[in-house]
Amino acid sequence: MKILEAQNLKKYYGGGDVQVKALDGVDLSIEEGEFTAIVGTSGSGKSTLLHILGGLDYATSGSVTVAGRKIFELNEKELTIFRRRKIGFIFQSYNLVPILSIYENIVLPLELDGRPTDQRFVEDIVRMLGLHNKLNNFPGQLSGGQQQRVAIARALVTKPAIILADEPTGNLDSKTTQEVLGLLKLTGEQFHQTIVMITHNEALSQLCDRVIHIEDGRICSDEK
Amino acid sequence: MKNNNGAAVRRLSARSLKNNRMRNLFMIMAVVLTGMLFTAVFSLMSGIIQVTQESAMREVGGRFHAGLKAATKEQYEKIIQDPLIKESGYTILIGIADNIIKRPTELRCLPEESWLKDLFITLEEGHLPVERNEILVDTFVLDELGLPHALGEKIPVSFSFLGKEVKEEFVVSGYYQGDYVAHASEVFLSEKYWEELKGSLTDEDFLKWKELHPEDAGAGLMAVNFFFYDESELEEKIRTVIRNAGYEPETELDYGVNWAYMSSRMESADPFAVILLMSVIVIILVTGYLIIYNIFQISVISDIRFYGLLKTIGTTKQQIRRLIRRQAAILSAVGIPIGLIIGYGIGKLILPFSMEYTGYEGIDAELKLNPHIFVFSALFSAFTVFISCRKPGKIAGNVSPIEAVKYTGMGEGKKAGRRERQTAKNIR
Repeated sequence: MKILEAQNLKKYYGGGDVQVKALDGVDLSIEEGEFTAIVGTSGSGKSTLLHILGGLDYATSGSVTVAGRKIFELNEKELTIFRRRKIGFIFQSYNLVPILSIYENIVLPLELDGRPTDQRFVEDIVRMLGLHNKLNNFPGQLSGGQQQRVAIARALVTKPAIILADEPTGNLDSKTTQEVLGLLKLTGEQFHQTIVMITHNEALSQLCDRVIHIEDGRICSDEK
Repeated sequence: MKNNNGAAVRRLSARSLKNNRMRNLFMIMAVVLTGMLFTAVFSLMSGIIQVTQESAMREVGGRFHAGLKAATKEQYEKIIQDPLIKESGYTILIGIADNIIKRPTELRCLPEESWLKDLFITLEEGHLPVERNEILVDTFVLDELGLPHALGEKIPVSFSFLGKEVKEEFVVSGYYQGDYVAHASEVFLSEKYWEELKGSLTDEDFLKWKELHPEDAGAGLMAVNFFFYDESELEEKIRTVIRNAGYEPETELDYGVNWAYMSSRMESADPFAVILLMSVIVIILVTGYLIIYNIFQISVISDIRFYGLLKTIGTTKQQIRRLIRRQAAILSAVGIPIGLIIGYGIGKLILPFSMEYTGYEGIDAELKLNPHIFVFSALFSAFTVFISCRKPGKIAGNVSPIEAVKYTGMGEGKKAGRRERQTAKNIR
């Protein structure tokens, strides 16, 4: 089943001579359960692509369909709520809420929804990511790798349709990178998640089922 | 789509408050200032209204709402049955003293000592006259006659009663501080004396005399005073009461309304004063608004990444605005009561001084507690805070989630340094 479909995405900044074409006609579709890597150099448009795929930013033209919903047809509030429930994000600099504890950070998307928390599920995730004795700490007290694991937990907790990871190991050393990536793949499989990861590091993309290369705002290769 | 988020927003606002001590302090001070200004102004206003009303009442001679000018006993007894009337009292007008000329001095008979306070009479010494030759006077009378303020002094009084000249000497059984605001001095004789003076004369005789000598208003008849249950529609009420008892207002039974209550109504308020008041309120509002708005604005802008972060996780614009409003509400809940108390204190302090400048000298202007002051001040202050946090709330709510995402990758300051050090270590 196609969990995500993008058609003819274009993102242009400015006009005339100084126009920047961040994305210049990108078509993409992701099947459920795939672990996809989007690889490109700096300025290739990969981050822009990810943000648009996840509804964090709007495309100049084109459409994105996630779990059957055309996300650009939603208004701002609907889109935010849709993102909260259906799309999990993991960022390079973790983006945890510093004034909340680890546990509170993880369940925050659920609480914003006002839905009751599935305690067992949260415990499973926490255990799998090795965070069970850090739940009362605050992000400032954790290492980079630990913080990223919290971010993964937060992304998983809403059982989203897709998880988008923007250079998740960019700020981590090589050993932690291996750890975190391994956990990402493991939890993805364990909880039947579809993951799209951006990276500039070719080596890391080897872990993925599918590798897409992007250059100058266009997809130039797509291999499994 | 449900967006039920109470707990999350509450927790986020509680933590935000905890994390922002300095900002909280400034906010509270700003709210206190606003509340204080409003309360001081409203207190002063309330005080001025009270004082002007009180002094008007003292001019009239009593606190009562309305009264009958010259009633017979029969009329009095019929009328006080009326359910509209809360309390009533009366004096019997005996005459006007000829020998005391500096101020008109009215001789009356007052049956109940408890009615004195509503006539603004507080005895300095002594009691209401009981014996035939006793008299209750005010200090102006004593002064004019050159007598000391003491009991037992002998007071000569001459007056005319129904055409008859009367000269008597009375003994001071009590006296009170004369009120220079009132138009006349009220002096009281005992019931025993009145019965004696009246002799066999009846109300009919008094009515006949009134018709023949209208300038000798109500000699021998009762001047009745009423309190209704509230101060509204006093003229309507007294006319109704008179008619209900079967009499024709004015022609048969004349009445008066205490104009102190009429003139303190807003309709007859001086338009200049009203405009002045409105301007002051607007100025306070704008001042409070500017300060509070600024504090919040700075706070929001410095936390803009935080709000962007919340957006990325899926916090809606409305939730973020609610977050800010909640913080404002909590800070107001602390600041407003403090402001109210301080403002009231200031109003109480300033009132006597401000009264000096408006020519009401000597009146002891004491601010009486009026809950309306606090209600209005609290409302205006809360309103000011509410409108002040709207724009900052909007800014926070409209932040793009990219704001939080933008600064990723480069890392900053300490964290980047630490990370790089870790990386360098591990590479070896």
